[in-house]
Amino acid sequence: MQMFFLQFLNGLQLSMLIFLLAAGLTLIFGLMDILNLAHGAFFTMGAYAGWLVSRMTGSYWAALLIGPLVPFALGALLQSAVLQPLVKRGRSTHLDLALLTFGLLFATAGTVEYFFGSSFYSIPTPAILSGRIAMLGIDYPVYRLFVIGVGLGVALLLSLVIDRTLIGATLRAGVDNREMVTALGININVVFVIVFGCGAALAGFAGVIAAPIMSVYSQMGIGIVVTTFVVVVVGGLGNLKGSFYGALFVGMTDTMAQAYLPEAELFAIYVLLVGMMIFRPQGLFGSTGRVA
Amino acid sequence: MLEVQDLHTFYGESHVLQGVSLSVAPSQCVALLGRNGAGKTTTLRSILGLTPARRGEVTFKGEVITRKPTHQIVRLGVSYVPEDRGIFATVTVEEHLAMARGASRGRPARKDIGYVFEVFPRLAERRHSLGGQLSGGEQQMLAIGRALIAGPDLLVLDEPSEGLAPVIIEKLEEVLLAVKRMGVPILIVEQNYHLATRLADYVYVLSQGSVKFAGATEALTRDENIRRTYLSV
Ligand SMILES: Nc1ncnc2c1ncn2[C@@H]1O[C@H](COP(=O)(O)OP(=O)(O)OP(=O)(O)O)[C@@H](O)[C@H]1O
Ligand SMILES: [Mg+2]
Repeated sequence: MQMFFLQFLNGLQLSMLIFLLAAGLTLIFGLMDILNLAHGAFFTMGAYAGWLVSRMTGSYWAALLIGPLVPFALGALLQSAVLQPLVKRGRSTHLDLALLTFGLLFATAGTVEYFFGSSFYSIPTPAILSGRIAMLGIDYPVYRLFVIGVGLGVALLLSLVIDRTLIGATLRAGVDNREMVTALGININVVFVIVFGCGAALAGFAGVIAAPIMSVYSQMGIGIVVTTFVVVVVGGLGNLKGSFYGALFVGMTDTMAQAYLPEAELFAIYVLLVGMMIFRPQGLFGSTGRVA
Repeated sequence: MLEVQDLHTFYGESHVLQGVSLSVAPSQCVALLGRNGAGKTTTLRSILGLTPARRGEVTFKGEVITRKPTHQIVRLGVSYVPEDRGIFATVTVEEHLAMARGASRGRPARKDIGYVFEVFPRLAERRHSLGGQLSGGEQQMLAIGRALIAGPDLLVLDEPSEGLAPVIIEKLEEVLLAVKRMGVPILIVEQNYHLATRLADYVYVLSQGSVKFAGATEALTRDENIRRTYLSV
């Protein structure tokens, strides 16, 4: 029982980390119809930027705040300087963009390795979040509880923004009918750049959050982007709520398989993916093109 | 106010508009008539920059807008009610209006949301409903209310009466007449000939992507030949 509780918390922690990535990925897809395979690159950039900041300032919190700004800026730049012009030139089918962003994912890993080498780094856990806390018969690391809390907090905040604010209404409108948004006098390209930047920043934020518990290395974004894709497919592309439950589903499956069915660990989530594609291709949360 | 000169518009290789010219004067209501597939919607889409024309020129308030992006054209004061009404399924009535209001920041004649609720009291009752939950009539009221928020210098409507019950069409006519009395120029595409001729001062009849008739509304009502050939009324 204690073992299960421990695994449950581990699963929850992993789920929340993946959710931070999946949220951006699904919003970008829902709004712009871009399957952004480079999303994992922003995770890597955030982690390295955070690592640099933490080394220079010695502060985890500075890393958490400043780290995501790098992927925000590069994400906004990618959308405005590369992807947007492609749309104008008519070279923006799903395949075009998937190939391009796939290339960017690996190019980022290579570039990072060129500058930082192939060593593994880590951001030290801040003092206030280190140590363990005794609960229900187990000693659980405080930092992992913090990750769970942050994930839940971000999920709540995102759903409030999307459901209750005018910015959220604009996003919902854009997912539903982009053309009509422009016909209201709104420059949808600006909305796209901001959403792309914010999605990238969330991925970078996840990178910093992950740094004290996972290694920071050049390829770190590649494995996780695959898991994130499974989440987004399971939850339904373009659906924020779906990506939350999808993340829980995938994170739990992965963790529980590791704990109780180690032989299945490597392919458990892919079984989930394939099963989903065959039996419920629209994902758990059905209708396509909804963000809320 | 609006001048359209020799517009040629294509969908891929298909040459849909073959030299459409028309104009809307200040305070004038102009109707664009014609059978299904005549190119009425395409004309409006070309004016708004949604399907940009390949040749020709559109001028609005003296400014050439042919190649401008849609959002800039709209900000100059063109409000658009598309054929499918363009209501967002997952956005509430109030949010629709607030979005349009936010987007028309800086326009001198911009209205409050309360103004739309006065014109269409039914929308006030439905303010928290999602667009997807509205009836066809309510959606059309919302689409028109949303277009009026900006305090437009030109109101462009694509078949506003389509699919509406007769009582709702009466209400629609009343509202559009009121808009016209306020001096807002209107460019309206309508299949409902009687509604169109009651509203419009001037009429263009389109067939196969070019203008076959242009004249005052009374001239069209007198010209049985044109009506029979191009409108089947
Ligand atoms: N997206 C499109 N791609 C290709 N052809 C199109 C497209 N939209 C319209 N057309 C064609 O262009 C022509 C003009 O269409 P348009 O929609 O402008 O007509 P309309 O006068 O508005 O007709 P309706 O009364 O049915 O709304 C038609 O022959 C139509 O088939
Ligand atoms: Mg039409």
